[in-house]
Amino acid sequence: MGKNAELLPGTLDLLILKSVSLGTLHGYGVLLRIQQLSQGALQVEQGSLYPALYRLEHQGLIDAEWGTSDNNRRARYYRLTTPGRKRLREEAAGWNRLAAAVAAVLNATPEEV
Amino acid sequence: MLARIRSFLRTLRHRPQFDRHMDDEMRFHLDARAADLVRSGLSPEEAPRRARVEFGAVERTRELCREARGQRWVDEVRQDLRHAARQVCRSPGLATIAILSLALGIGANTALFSFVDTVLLKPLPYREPDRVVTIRESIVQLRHQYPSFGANAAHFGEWVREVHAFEQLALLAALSRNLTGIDEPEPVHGLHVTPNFFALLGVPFQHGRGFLADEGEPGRNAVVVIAHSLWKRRFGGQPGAVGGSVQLDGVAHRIVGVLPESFRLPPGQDLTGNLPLVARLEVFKPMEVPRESNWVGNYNYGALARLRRGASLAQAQAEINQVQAAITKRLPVRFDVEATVHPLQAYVVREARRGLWLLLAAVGVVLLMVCVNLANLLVARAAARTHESAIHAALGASRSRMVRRALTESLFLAALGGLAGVLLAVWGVGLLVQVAPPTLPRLDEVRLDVSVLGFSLVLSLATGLLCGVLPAWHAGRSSLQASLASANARTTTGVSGLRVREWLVGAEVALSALLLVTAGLLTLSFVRLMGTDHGFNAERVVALDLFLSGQRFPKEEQRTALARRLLDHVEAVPGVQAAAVVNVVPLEGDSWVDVVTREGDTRPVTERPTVNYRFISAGAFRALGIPLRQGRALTEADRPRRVAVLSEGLARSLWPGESPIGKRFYRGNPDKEPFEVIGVATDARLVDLRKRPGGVVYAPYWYRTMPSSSLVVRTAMAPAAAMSAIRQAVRATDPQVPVSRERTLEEVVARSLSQPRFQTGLVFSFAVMALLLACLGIFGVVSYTVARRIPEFGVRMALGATARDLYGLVLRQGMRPVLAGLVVGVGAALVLGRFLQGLLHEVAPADPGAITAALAPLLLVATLACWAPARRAARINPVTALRVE
Repeated sequence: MGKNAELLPGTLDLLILKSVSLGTLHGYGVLLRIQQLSQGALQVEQGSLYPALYRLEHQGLIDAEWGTSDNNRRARYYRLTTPGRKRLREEAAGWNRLAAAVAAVLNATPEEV
Repeated sequence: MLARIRSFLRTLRHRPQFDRHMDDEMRFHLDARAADLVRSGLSPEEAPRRARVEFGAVERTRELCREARGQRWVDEVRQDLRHAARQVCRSPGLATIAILSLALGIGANTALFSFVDTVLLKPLPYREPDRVVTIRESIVQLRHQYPSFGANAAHFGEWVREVHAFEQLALLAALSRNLTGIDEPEPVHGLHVTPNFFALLGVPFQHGRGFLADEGEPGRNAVVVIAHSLWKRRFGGQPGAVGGSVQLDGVAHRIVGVLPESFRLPPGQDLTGNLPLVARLEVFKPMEVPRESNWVGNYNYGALARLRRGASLAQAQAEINQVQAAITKRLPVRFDVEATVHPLQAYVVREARRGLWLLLAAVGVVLLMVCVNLANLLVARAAARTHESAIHAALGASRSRMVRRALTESLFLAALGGLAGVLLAVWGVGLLVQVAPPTLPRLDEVRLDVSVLGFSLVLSLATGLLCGVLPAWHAGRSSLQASLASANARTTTGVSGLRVREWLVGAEVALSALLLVTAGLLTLSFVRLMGTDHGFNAERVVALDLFLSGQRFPKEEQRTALARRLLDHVEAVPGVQAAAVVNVVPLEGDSWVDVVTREGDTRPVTERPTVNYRFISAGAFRALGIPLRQGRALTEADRPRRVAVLSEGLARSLWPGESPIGKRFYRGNPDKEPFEVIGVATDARLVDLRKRPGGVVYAPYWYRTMPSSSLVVRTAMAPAAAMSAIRQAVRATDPQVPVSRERTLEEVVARSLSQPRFQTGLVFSFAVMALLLACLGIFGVVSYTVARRIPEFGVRMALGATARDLYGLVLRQGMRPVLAGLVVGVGAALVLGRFLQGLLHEVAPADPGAITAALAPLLLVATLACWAPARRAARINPVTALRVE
């Protein structure tokens, strides 16, 4: 729908983990999926995608393997590892808590004060 | 964490591959994006370009990716290493000096540490060696003269019964026998031990076994365990030797075990009395704990014990103190008998310890100076390259990066120096073992081993860091603008790094002064020691050991008669001026220690003097060159009376103010026939050159001829010829009497000085090294300063300064840090002098003569080092100077 949301630093990792959890993807695929799932609101800066992917791989949260894409090209596919799954759960829970807290503050009416 | 490390290692291994893969991946991404763009309507030519623009700076992404993998760090380190190697090639002179001085510093430290590690630190080769202890007794009232003795057998019995902190105790006694039944009888030495001795130490026998519990009993004790060296020498290393027999003084003994080659015992004289100095312990015979009735005297045994698991040294000491207190109460005389439990290792190294730590400290100081010198050089170079560093910083190098680069450079140099140092150390260890005094414990075990190499590695790293931290800090702190500007400066001291370098010079001078003063004091002490009048004349005197075994000569008279016959034959040898039999050669230990009781002396035994008794024949005073003060020496005509000659100090203390001639005294308690004094000899240092001469009673050999006696012969012949002639004379008298340990008295004196000589020699060498390093450092700084200040000097000269003025200027400024360092160094030397006290002989740690003599070369060298550049300054032509950029 409409406005682009600004990506807070650190959330990119979370989004990548989530995208990959839904199925193995290559880098470009992750980009597309995030766009798709956020219905176009989140535009990931392409320059920061791969550093983030490599960082997550270095930390052992995602695994990479070479495979073939639909148009028969070699591409590197990422999937979530068990520690990655755990981290995703934790980060998501934290994010949701934060969002709920902020929402609660924002929804306060003058009467509740 | 683990995952990160794994990933990092993977990156390291497959580096070029990963770069390629990264490129492939990104290319795929760009192609996919381009394809999507085409699908959404863009032209096939426009799409790839748009995709690339969207992606952003590819190179930057690549960098970020590498960093994310931890790869950047690796890249940077490789870069730094390459840079360091390039620097080495670019200024080979500096690099050579650096690596050589590092090699010297690290090599010397490693060699000495290897030495110290084996002699002092390495645990003894027994089972759980930290629980093996030795017990020494002492009598409080006699401590000033005889600080400790071995153990008394009766007391030992009490310890076995009452001290529960010990799991096992073993008693030891000296064993000296002739190996007979072979062509050339050979004297061998070893120990009588209680049967549990080898079990207590935990010796793993490869051939045979230790002793069984009942083998100590008489009738069962004709068994021996022999050392590996004896096994090789006499039995060809045949396993069949076990169970075979060997003759000791004509009595057959069965060999039940051979000790492993790695078995080591502390030096014999540390274990028990009555063994010749530096004797190899090769034969062990079992014995029972004797039923000793004498609770007061005879401390000739050694005692070892093993602490019970869970018991501490303090507990054992407390328990033994109680036992000793009970024993003291039971004694018929007022002697307070105490016992001290020492961990065996600590006891063995007790004398070597202080000296060796001093050496390690001294060589550490040299290494420190090498580091300081190197830091000096590197700071100078960093200062000269501020321009270059400023450009680096301008191009984006972070401060930490520059610091890392400078550190890498020093670590690289240190690594190279360390490598060269290890090689030097290998050579050095061999050299040290050769020049070391043979009395150092465990000398035969010294070698370069893994722990020492590890030490060397750590040392190199530490050195690199120490040398590098200053220039690195310096590199990081250069201010951009100032450095870019200063390249053209004509001013003087805003020169970065000069102050730092002056401080470094001051530090070097201080360290050097410290070492020099130490060396000076030690040297003076050694010179005084060598010059001490020993009281006897060691020139052209030869000594040999005889062994008149108790088996063949069970009675005193037989030994004495044999000694007489030997002397007759030896005196007939041409060239012999005097020959004598003595029980102990000078400077080879205390013997025979006993009390002197003057006739009519009613003092308790604790207050009567304890002295050395020497049993000598008539020619002893002539042979040893000890002059007589009063009366006369013994002659054969005095036989068989109990006559004696006393040392003058003893005579004075027994009969002050009177002539002692004709007076009488007893050995020990006044219950036997007394001795009559017929002469007084000058005081001689017969036991330790460093101690004041103690009392000596020279008693006749017809009173006592010990089985282990020695011949001393003053001869006009060369020593080798003399020894062979004397040996033949002995053989002619009795071919069954073995002669061993032929030596000259001068060698004996030299050996007694070998430890201080070793220490002094090494510290002196280190001090010389330090002096050279300080000289280099001072010279470097002062010439650098002069070079930088040439324009200024030009200005001064143009304004009317003379050459003399410039000389003075440079000298004053150059010597300022030197003088400061000198003061600090001397101060430190005075403060630390206390630790030297134990090593100095008749020299005070604050001896002004020694200190001045030590510092004079330093001042001289420093002045010279400043003078050369000063001369250069004075010769400046103002015109050319002002033109210099």
